[in-house]
Amino acid sequence: VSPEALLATLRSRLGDAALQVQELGGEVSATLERERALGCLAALRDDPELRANLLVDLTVVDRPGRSPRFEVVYHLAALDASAPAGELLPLLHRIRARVGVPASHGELGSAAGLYPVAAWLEREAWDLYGIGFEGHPDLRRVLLEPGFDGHPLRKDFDPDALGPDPLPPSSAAPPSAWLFSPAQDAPRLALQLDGERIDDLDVQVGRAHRGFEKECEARSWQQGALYAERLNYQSGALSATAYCLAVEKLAGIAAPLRAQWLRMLAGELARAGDHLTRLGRTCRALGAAGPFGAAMEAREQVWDLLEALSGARVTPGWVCVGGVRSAEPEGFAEHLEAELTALERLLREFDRSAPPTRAFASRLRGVGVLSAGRLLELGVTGPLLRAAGVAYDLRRAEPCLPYEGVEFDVPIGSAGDCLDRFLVCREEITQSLEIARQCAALLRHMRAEPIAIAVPGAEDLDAAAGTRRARTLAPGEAYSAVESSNGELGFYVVSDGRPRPCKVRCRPPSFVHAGALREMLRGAWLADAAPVVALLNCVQGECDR
Amino acid sequence: MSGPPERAPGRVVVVRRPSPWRGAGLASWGRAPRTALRELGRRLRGLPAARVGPAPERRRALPVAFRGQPVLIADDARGLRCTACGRCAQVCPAGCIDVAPRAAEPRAPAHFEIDLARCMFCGACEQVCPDDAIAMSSAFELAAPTRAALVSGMEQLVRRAGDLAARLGFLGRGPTP
Repeated sequence: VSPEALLATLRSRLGDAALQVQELGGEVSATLERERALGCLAALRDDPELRANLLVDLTVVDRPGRSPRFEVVYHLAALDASAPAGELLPLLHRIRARVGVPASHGELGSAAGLYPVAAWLEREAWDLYGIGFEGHPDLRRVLLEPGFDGHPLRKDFDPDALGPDPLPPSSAAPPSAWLFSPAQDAPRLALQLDGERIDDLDVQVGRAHRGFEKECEARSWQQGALYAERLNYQSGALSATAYCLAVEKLAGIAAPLRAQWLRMLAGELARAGDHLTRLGRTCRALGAAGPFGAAMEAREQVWDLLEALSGARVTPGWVCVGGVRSAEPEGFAEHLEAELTALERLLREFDRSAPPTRAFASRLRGVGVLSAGRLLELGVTGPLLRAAGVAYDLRRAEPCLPYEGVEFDVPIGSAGDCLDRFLVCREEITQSLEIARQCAALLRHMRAEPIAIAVPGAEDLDAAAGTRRARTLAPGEAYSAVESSNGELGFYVVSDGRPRPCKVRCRPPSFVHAGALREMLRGAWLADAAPVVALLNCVQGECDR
Repeated sequence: MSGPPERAPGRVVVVRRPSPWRGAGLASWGRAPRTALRELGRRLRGLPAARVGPAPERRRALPVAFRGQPVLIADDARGLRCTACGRCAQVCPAGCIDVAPRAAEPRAPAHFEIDLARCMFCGACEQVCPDDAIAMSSAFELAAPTRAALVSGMEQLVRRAGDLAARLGFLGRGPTP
């Protein structure tokens, strides 16, 4: 569907409930009247042409000078659910819906009835912006402690005014439920148990909240890439790439082709490393030390490759707005080829011991199942969704990097249980390394191409005059997403024309998936929490930001 | 450069699940002890891919792209390349560079400090420097007893240009500006 046709459909379906419908840089957005916002969202979801069946993200933009001051922004996507099973699921279009909310009575109806994932995302909007959603089933803080005072992403919130210990002492008291972290670095689960059955649970995230979005508002667009990379530090190159793609879209530029291939190469290596962590951690959570060791050893090799390519192992600091910082070293393709041979030997060792053994597979079989439809309602994408049989992969559905130029398989599962998740991630490692190989081979022919372009809005110094002058990006907004190791990792960036970003929003798959954990574990055996959480791969840096 | 090659987009494949009966037969009963013995033998022979080794004695070869401690470059003839323009301090995402120019000509820093406790080793300073005066060295063993000791001044930062030739060559920059 072309943006123009989509605009026309939006206008006719929403009528005068849409205050403004516009297309900017290929992104279609509709501003909705606050009183009728929920009705419009229902129309967007149910209309046979619009079919916006996935609520990707919900966030808030605060513009103190404007009326209404706040804007709740819904990012919707239309997945073609009618695609036949076993074929790639296309992404039809994206729609951004926004609703103005005044500061005085920040009340808007909750979209949780339409999109169940909204219940989780609206808690964050309440927590960080103080937007109250009417009819929300469970509106309480999610990232910050219950006793925290204020809403820190509001522009008038001054983080420097916080004392060294901003929490009242009462909030440190432990909750009465049983607390459980089945895998390191996982969200904390407060469980209600009936024997060894989990009756109900509360997923508690936020212990590693570092104020990523607030930090970005105090930095230049270029500097934010370094912070974005530290969200999902298991695959930092993917996070930085997603951020840079969004800022480049906002600036109206594109990195040179060679830089795009280099980013793709680093991203696929990072994905393989991330999946190896996930699988290794799953093995360890189930007491299988052998395959855990093999996975960690394989990850070391992947990280060595990343280091040889970019100069650093985990968070390369190498992808920047406009391109990458340095070219691949001479002979990298040959080096990669040799290392991959050694790596494949390690992976075979891993395969021999991990899933095919009966005892190991029995811990994963039939565990943590949610239907594909329910996963989509909960906003779950990536390997978890693919394990449930939905061949949805942004690398094919909406490639922001030249993925058309590489050949790879999209593995899907059939039962949607932990065994399928394990096997899908394992196969994705093979495919990622295969993509890396193809990228490296192609890059050999691009040695003369540039690796970065100047960013028009980047900060600049007027050295001749001896003055510092910060140039800016034109006012605007952009959303760009990549298929990260966990699913859709998107960045929504807003510029108001000032030197610093007005808003940098990360759409974190880890956080969204943590919200789905409650349904995956309710009624499960306590022992099953370990593989479910480990395979969810909730990277805390990205979940808590 | 021609465009990316035309390729088949790849398939959707359904992963093959191991049968729940696999390994359930009588034939597999001896498997656990056999595996244990094999693994023991492998450990005794030493794993070929083992990555542990005597750490300070045997040093790992660093790749040419490696980014370690940022240092200031001085030429033999002309001394410090830095003109204290302050670009590096401005682009640094961590704000860990503190530079102040000297009052008199020629332009040079009166004061140059990098707080290595905050440095992310990203190389933004190196990338922005118009004079190739700051570059990422291969030094990475930077532990210090106190945070204050991690704030490096000029006496710790200055290196001869020859020491950084490999790095500058990798970045495609000349030996002297």
